[in-house]
Amino acid sequence: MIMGAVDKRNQHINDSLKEAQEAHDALAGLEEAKEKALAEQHAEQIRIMNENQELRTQLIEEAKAQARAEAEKIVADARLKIQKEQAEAMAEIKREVITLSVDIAEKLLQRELGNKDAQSQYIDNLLKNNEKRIEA
Amino acid sequence: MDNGKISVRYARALLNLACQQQCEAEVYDCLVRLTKQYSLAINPFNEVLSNPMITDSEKIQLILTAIGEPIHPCLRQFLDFVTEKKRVNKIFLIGLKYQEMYRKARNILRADVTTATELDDNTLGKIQSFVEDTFHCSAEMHVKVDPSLIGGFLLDIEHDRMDASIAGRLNKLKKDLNVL
Repeated sequence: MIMGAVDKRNQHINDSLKEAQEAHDALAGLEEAKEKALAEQHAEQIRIMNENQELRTQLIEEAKAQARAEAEKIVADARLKIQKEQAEAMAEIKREVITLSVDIAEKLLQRELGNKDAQSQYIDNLLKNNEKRIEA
Repeated sequence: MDNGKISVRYARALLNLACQQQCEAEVYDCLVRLTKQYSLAINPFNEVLSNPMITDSEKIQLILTAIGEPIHPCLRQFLDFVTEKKRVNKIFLIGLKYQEMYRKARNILRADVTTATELDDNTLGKIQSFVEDTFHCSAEMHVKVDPSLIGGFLLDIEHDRMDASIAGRLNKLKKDLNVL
């Protein structure tokens, strides 16, 4: 009877040890799975970070290109505007010079042809030149 | 019938009448004087000639006054005829048409000369000779003065203009320089 109890006790201890070993093994498996999951998560994080870095670099490059294009357009527009204003100013100066020159010529001719004799002389020459042109 | 056709018809009749009486040049002179006076007061003239309250004899008197002396009897006779036909208000157009027909028949060109100052007869004669030599015709000169021309002259012949004025040359110079 005592032996039976000892055997039973031994059996119980063995079962417990076995259960403990199984629990230990299961825990080790879980630990491994956790490590694996952590490694995968870490790899995913690195991948996402890399992707973000590329996107960031791309966005920065695009923003830089856009800013450069806008700056070039502003410079080109400003250059065109300056050229246009320069041309207008030159044309205005030219017009004024022409008007002034013609006005001066007009005043001089008015003085030169201020009397009847000068008018007659001028018309004489005009008609002679015209005759020559007709003969030619 | 429009005014043009009416005036041409009457002008031709007057020219035929004047040719028969060999007085076309005298009638022409009278009509030149009439159109000159008429041009100075077109509106009042038209008002009087088309006013039914004014008698025909008063209208004729107005026309005779505008023509001045001498008035050739042929034209006087024609005025009575036109008045009788109720066309006295067309006398100005008839006069113009007569002048056109007369000049065409005599190979005369009307030349309107504008000069900057009044010119002596010698210079005007040279311009006239220039026109006659150029167009192979007789030239009837009508001169007026426009000081804005500065010098030279403007010549209007029929529908053509020759600008030999200083003002014209300066304008051309200004345009040419602006194009450069």
